Formats: sequence, structure tokens, C-alpha cells
Amino acid sequence: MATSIKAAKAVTLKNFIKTFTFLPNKSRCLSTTGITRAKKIQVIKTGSVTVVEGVKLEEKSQVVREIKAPTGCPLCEFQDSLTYRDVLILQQFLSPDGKILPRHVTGVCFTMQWKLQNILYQSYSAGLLPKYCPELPVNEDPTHYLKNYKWRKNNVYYEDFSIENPL
Amino acid sequence: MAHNRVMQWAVLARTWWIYDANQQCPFRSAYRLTTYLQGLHKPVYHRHGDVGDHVVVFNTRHIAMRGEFWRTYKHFHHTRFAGGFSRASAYRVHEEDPTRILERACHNRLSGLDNKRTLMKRLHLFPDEEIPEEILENVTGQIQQVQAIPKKLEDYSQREIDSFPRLFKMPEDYDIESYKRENRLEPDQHTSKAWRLK
Repeated sequence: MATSIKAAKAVTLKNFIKTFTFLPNKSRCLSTTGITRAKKIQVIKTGSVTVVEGVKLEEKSQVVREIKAPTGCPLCEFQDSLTYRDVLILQQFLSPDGKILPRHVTGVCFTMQWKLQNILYQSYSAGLLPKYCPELPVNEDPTHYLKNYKWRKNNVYYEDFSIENPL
Repeated sequence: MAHNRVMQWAVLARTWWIYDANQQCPFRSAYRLTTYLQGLHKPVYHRHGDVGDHVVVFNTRHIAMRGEFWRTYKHFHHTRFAGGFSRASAYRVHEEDPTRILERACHNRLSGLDNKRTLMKRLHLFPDEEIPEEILENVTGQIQQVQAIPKKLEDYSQREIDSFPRLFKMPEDYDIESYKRENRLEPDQHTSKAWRLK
């Protein structure tokens, strides 16, 4: 309840009604246990005995690093060392279709978001990240796009902490 | 000592070096290659002593230039006739002759030397990995690359990507694909055609 009110910051008619109408299914349940009770059916055969068991699905055990910077920004600690070659870090801030995730999701501060955009551009144009091209609309000729920007097929590198990369 | 005599032969003999130009800056590698061409790496170096070595460079087609240099770096030429000035961007020169940029970079690096032409004759450039065996059988040493080749995201396995620690925790109720644009039947009229892809 508290979260839904907080989300409706802008006082529009749509948001005003939302607070008093039925809440979504997710927050309607009153149980104190986890909301997602996903289980996986496991069948074990030992001789003549077959055991069908519902095993609880565990979430991906991803190690989340502790943020030590007082700003609460995950990138502030690395602002003197983050380069376009750190692909494993940079790909965390991208959605699967290649868009930069917004700041309220990642928690990156304003300045590091600005720098992250530059570094991501460098990493992309150096060919280290995959090409996130959208699918072509119908009746569009792909050769039209390819014949321009002929220099882009050559290899590119960037100088760290230089004018191109003002960190 | 016989050992010293052999060392003297090795110094005065013209040795052959090989260099892989894959993903290397032509201007930085020219700095390193010309020291071997002039013989600056030898203790007996003298400007008029002809002690330079041969250098074989391959993969010059795959050199890397900095930032926007493929577009902005120009090669100039003047025929000395009226209106004979011409210029070309680096990527256009590279299309014509993939060994040209590294050759001019070494040529410019050796400017001011009387023996520049003889030194440039000892530089053997090949656009790809194919090197004739007559040249390859002479090679005895390798020159270290000037830059480390960066690793792409495709080169990492999925397990390596997953096991790398996350920097932030994704909120559970956020839909990552909420901004995904549908593949519409008609092209998007609001963005210009050049920016629609890439």
C-alpha cells in the first residue's frame, strides 16, 4: 500500500484513482512468506520406487558487491580506473536490447551516469560490446545503412583519461 | 673468447624481426619499428654506420586508430602543378592500400635522415597473415606489441559473465524490457533514416 502511494507522485486523475482501486495481485496476498513460491517438479526413480517431489527454486546466486562510497553510487569508487575495456562491468548497466538502465534502477549518481554514457559509447564503437541493432522494419533495405559510415568497419581504440575520455 | 666473436657477428649481421600489427596504433608502432630499422637498439649504433635490421610486419589491414582518426586524419599530396593539391582521409587511404598508413607513419618518423630510403626498403609490410616463405625463413626475432588487445564480451563464456560480481541489486518489480520498441510494420517517421540504425 505504501509503495503504491509513493509511486503516484504526480497528482493526475489516473494516479489518484489508482490509489483507491484494487491493488495488484502481488500485494494482495497477506502471507508473510515469499511471494513467489515457484517450485520445480523433480522425478527420481530408484528401482521400483518413483519419488515425485516439488523442489523449491532458488534464485540465481549472484554475488552483489557492497557499495563503499558515501554517495551510494556503485561506480563512484571506480571513477579513476573504469575504462572502456571493462566489459563485464559495463554490460551490467545495459538492458538486454542494449539500452542504458535508468538511474533509479542502478543507483548511479548523476556525474557517473554522464561518464558511463561516454565509456559505453567508446566500448561499443571499439567493437567490444555486441551490436544491438533493432530488427529492420518491412520494406527497409539494410544496404542503405551499411554504405554510409565506411570508416566504422576499421578497428578503433581509445586513450584512457584523455580529452576524449574526460574522467 | 670465441663467445665474444660470435656476439660481434650477431651485432653486425642484419637480423630480421617480425611484428604483428593486429589492433595496434600505427603511430606508436612506427616509433618502435624505426628503432629497429635504424639499429638504435644496438650498442654500436652510429648514424653513419649501417647497422639497421630488417622488420617484417603483417596484419597491417587490422591496425587500430585512435578515436575519430579514421575519419579526421588526412594524408596530403601536392603534385607541384597548379591545383595539384589533394587530400584523403585515413579510411579512404586504407581502402586503397592497407599497408599505406603504417608505411607513411614510419616514413614520417624517419624524417630528416639521409638514409631514409634505404631504411624504408628494409621494412616489409603485408596486409594479411600471408608472408612469402623466402622472407619468413630469415626471421629470427619478434618485436613486442605496443598495445594489449582488449577482450570482447563475446570472448567471455556465459559462466564467466554470471560469476562476475554484480555492482548493484536489480529491483524485483522493474521490468527490463519495458522500453523495448516493437518491430513496427512501417518505418518510424519521427527519427531520420541515418539514425534509425546504429
